[in-house]
Amino acid sequence: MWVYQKMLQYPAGVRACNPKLAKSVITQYGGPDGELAASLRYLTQRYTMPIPQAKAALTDIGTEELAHMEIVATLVYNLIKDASVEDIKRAGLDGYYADHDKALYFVNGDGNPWTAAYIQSKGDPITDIHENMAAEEKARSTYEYLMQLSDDSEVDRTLRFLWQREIVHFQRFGEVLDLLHEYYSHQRVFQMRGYDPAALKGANSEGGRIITP
Amino acid sequence: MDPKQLELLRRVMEAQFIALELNLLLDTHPSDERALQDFRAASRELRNLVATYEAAYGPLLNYGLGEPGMTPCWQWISDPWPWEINWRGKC
Repeated sequence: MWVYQKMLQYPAGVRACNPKLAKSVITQYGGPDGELAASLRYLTQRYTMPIPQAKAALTDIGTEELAHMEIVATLVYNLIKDASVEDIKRAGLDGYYADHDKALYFVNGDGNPWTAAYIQSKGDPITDIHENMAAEEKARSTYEYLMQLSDDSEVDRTLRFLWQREIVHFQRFGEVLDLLHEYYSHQRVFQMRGYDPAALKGANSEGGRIITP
Repeated sequence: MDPKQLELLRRVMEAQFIALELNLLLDTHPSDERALQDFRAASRELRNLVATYEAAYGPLLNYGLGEPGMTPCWQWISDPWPWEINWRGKC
């Protein structure tokens, strides 16, 4: 269940109509390291997490990413809403305009549509959290490139906020990873009826993680 | 949106951010008593601000969690929606 809050997470601003900048920024809406990918990645991974801290962090960060998706959408919407068709053509957004007018659609900067292939949900919690830490770093890099491309101080300010959030999420996922390692380091032994547990000890565990009775 | 409403909304957003950040921290530090204390204070502050805002300008939360207000109209649908506010020069 989700609830909508009728406000942005951050007061996003745009100085002027700028469809060329919108063409770059939209990659954080529907691109490979964008906010849709981030949100769906975390929200779909949470079902198979073994510890409560991981379930909570994935739920809450996945939800925050939806709020970031809305911030990016607000930037793009406000950067193109007053653009003329001439402005659109000059910005190289004519292909986008032909398919979507000025509506928001999930594409990267080159117009490629979003795909689930951008994300992974592997079932191994250690693998998934590593994927997420990499995802946060990739998004951080993308925001740095976007700030280099931006010629709008208000957009810069908003991008900087999103950039900072990637760093905080990376930190939280790092802590989740430590907690998972701690969880798996506690050796668990499944005792089967009719077997001597002493004989099984050490024979059926792999690094304390996977145990097949 | 009039400047008074915008300013109150900005304060709600600020309080929401503090609570969210402490929430994430507590997810991985559930036994951090100081963080929990800070979260309780931040959550109280947020709820007070939301109540003040909603009493004056209508609900911020949907599905019955927000205060619908005393007007005879369904205020939830009132403009502007979050993406229609440009915060240029207001932060």
